[in-house]
Amino acid sequence: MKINITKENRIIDIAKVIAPILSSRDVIANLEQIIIKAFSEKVDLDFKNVKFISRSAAYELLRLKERVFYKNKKQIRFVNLNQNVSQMLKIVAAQLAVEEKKIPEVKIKEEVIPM
Amino acid sequence: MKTLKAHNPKDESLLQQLIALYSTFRNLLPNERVEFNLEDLGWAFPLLILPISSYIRDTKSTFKLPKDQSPAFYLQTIQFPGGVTSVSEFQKIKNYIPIGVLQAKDRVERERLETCFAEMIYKILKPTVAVENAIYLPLTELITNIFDHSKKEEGYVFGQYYPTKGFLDLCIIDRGRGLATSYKEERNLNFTDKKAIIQALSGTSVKLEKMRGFGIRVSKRIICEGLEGSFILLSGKAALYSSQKEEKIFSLPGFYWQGVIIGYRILPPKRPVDITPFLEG
Repeated sequence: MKINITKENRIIDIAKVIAPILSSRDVIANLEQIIIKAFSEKVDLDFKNVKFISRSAAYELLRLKERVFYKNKKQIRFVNLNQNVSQMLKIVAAQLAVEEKKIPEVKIKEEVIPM
Repeated sequence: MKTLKAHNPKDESLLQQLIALYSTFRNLLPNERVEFNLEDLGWAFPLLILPISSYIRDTKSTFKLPKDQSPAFYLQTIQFPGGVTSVSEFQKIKNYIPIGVLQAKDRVERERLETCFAEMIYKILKPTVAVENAIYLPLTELITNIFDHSKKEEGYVFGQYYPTKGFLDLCIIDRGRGLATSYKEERNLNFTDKKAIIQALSGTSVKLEKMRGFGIRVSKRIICEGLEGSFILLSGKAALYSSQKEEKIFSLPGFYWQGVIIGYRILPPKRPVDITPFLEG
């Protein structure tokens, strides 16, 4: 989909441009291309019809926001987030800011498959 | 050409479905072209039908429909074995979940088709309590894993709600490189299939980046602890079975699935599920 982002119109409708449920990491790369080409230093990502974002997609989106700010001098703003999306982005942002916890190896009982 | 007879499970449990899947695919050479004999199949459940469907698509194998009209009609309805590959095909469907084939190449179309599946699953389940996040998270994380790790162009999804039995069964599959090979190729870690499953559940990521290795572990916890369901993860020649009551890992002699099969069962939720503790834990 070809989208022109200008100073006057700097909104990307996420549900329209991608989908109402954001799932995959790799689809965030599509957004990055649109943002880099934008004729505006500020871009609003509009989540108005987005129902849910996976943790993986939230992580990629937050990294994208940071990356384009430092590399391309572009500011991204997330707008119209519902509670699900807002909560996911907050949790992932908090986890990005701290040292990752080491999870102990799980112990699982080994058995012969019953036939 | 070898014939593989599809096995019926001894009962409705997810564990018996795993055994029926194992019995059906046992003694198969890698990517061998076969004929699936479904003539005596009484119950066409996702954990058997989706692996057969993906195998047929991948190897150009053939099949014989069930003799009984009811499962035969059901298979035609869910578009076995070809499945639905686009949003426009999906939009013709009103109230059931077809076999879905998600393709890596068109990311946006894939994301929209995945949304169609997730919304249909939610619509059919008709939850009366707040569980939207708990339904969507495992589905989205397990599907994104396919396109992050499998190195294959296609992933498969299928589900069936059984209102009289009182559960929803879902299956998500790839025919890619599998967990053990992913660890070997990405991080030079040598794991058996069993060990690779244990590592995936322990949060060991195939990729070295921060905050990876989350999807399988948290999805399994939300399904088993949050939604009080059960969960199967199969890769290569090993399988995990997990529920709130028990967790077991099996070797599958004479069997090898190239890729990953995930099957899970959830009951219609009776209480709200907050996924935050699972995400933070």
